[in-house]
Amino acid sequence: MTMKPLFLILFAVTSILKASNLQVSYQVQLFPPTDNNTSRCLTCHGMRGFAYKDSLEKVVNLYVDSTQFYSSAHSKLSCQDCHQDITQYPHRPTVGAKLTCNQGCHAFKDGKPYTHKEVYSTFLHSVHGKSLTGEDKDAPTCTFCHQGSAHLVQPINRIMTANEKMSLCASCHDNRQLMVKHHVNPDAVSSYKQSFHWKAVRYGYDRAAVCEDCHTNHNVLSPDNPRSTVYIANLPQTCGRSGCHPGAKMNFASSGANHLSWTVGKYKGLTYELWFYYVVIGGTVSALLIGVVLDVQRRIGFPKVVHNIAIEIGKLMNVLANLGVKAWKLIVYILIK
Amino acid sequence: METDSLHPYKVEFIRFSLNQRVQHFLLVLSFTLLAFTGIPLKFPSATWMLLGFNIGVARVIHRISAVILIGVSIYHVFYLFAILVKKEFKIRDAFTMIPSMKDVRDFLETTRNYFGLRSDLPMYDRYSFREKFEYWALAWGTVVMIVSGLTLWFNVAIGNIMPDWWIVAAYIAHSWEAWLAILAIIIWHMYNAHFAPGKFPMSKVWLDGKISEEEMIIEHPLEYERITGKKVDPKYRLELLKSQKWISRTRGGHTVTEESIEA
Repeated sequence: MTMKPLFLILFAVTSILKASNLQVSYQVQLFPPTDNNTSRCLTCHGMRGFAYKDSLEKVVNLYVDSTQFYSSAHSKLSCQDCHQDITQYPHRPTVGAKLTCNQGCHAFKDGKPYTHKEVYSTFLHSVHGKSLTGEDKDAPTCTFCHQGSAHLVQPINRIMTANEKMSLCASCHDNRQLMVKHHVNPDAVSSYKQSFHWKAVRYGYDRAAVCEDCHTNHNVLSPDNPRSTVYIANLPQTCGRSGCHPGAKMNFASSGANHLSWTVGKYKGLTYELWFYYVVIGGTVSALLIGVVLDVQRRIGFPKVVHNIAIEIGKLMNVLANLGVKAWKLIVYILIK
Repeated sequence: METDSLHPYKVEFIRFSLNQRVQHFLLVLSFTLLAFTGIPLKFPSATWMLLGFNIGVARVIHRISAVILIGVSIYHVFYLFAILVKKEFKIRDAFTMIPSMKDVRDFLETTRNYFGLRSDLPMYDRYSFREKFEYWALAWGTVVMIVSGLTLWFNVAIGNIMPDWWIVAAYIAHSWEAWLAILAIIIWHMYNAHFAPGKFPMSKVWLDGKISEEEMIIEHPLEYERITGKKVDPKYRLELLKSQKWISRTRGGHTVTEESIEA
C-alpha cells in the first residue's frame, strides 16, 4: 500500500526531468553582427526549393543560389549586414521582407564605410525615381537593371557588353505603348539604331556610346531639365567627355546625329534631302536597268518578247509624237490668230 | 574582223594612255575597298561583306582607301589642267568629256533605235553620251562622297564650325550617295564593260588601253574618221554591229596603229 504513491512520485519527477531536457535543446543563440554567418544561413536558404506559403497561400521563395551569391559583388558581406533584423536563430518568418538599397549596412570598401545612399538619392530624383516610392509600377527599380536581386548583383560594366546594356534600356524604351503611356518619346531606340554609335556597338565596338553614356544610368532627367546631361546647354560637355569627342562645341554637340531619324523628321531640309536620294536612286537605277534591257534586246534581240514589246512601244511613241507635233502647231496657230 | 588575204593584219587603236589606266586602276581599287568596308555600316545584316575582318580593321581600310581616292581625284584635276595647257587653253579641244547638244541628240536617236524607229545608230565621237554620263556621275558622286566623308571623319573639327544640321546632312549624303554609286557601277558600268555583247567576259581596254578597229567603227566612228581619214559607211557599220557575237573575239592584232589618244 505505501509503494503506489512512491511510484507515482518517481514517475512525476522523471517526467518533469525529461520535459526539462527537451527545453534545453531549444536554447536561443545570439549572433554578433561582425561574424560572417553566410554559410550558416545558406545551410537552409541555399537549398533549392526552400520556400513557404504565406497566409494568403502565396508561395514565398527563400532560396539563394550560393555559387551566384559568392561570385556577386555582395559576396564579402554577411547576410545580417543587410538583413539587420535577423539577430537570432531561429528567426521569425516575416523578418527581412522590406529591404531598400539605401539602408546603411556594415559594409566597408578600402577601409571606409560604404553605402549606396548617394546613388539611391540621385536615382530617386531622376525620372525613374518614382519606382522607389511605389508611385510608378512601370518604372525600373534597382533590381530591374541590377540582375534582378541583391544576391546576384555584379558590376554591370564587367558582365555586360555595350550592346546588352542598350538592350536593357530598350526592353522598356522600345515598347511603343509603354512609352506613349508615360509621355516619353517612343522613337528613341529606333532613331538611335540609325546612328553611327549603334552601328559601331552592333559590331562589338564597345567604346561607342550607348544610352547611359549620354543620359547617365542613375541620373536620367528630361532634356528640358537644366540639370540633365542632355539639356541643350550641357551637350558640349556631355559629348566632349574624355574618351569620347574632346573639343566638342555647341554646333557639333547639337547635331542630333545620335537619334538620326528623329532629327531628320524635325528638320524639313533633311527630310527633303532624304527624299531627293530616294527619287534619284530609284529613277537612276530604273533608267539604267531599262537602258541595259533595251541595249540587249536591240543588239541580240533576246528575249524575243521584250524586243517585240519595244517595237510596239516605239510605234506608240511615233503616233503620240506625231499627235503632239500637230497639237503644238494648232496651239501656235490659235495663239497667233 | 577575222584576218584573211585581203586584210592580213588586225588593227588596234590605243584608247587609253598608261597615265589614264593607272588613274582608273587606283580608282577601281579604292572604290571596291570603300564599298566592301562601307556597306556593312549601311546594312548591318551584310556582315559577310567584311570578309571576316572586324569593324576596327574595316574602318581603317575604309579611311586608307578614301585617302587613295582623294589622291587620285586631286591628281586628276592637275592632269586636266596639264591637258588644257597642252591644248593651248582651247577648252572644247582639251576636254572631250564636256557634254553638248550632240549628246542630247545622240541619246534621242539611240532611244529611237532601241524602240525600232530607226535602223542605224547615231555616229558617236570619242566619248558617247553613255560614257559622258558615267564620267560626270562619277565626278559628282566623288565630290559628294569626299566632302561628306571628311565631315564624318573629322566630325568634331568640322562639326564645330558648320551649322548643326551639317553632320546629319553629311551622314545622309554619304550613305545614300554611296548606294547610288555602287548600284550605278554594278548595273551600268559592269554591263558596258563585262556583259555587253561583244565585250563578254571582259573588255581589256582598262588593262592594255587598246580597242579593235571593229569596236572603234561601231562605238566611236567619228573619232575613227578623224584619226584614219577614212569615211565610215553606215551600212558597213550596221553589218558589223549585226555580226557581233556576245563573246568578244580575241584580239591579236599584229599591227597596232600608234594613234596615241592622249586626250
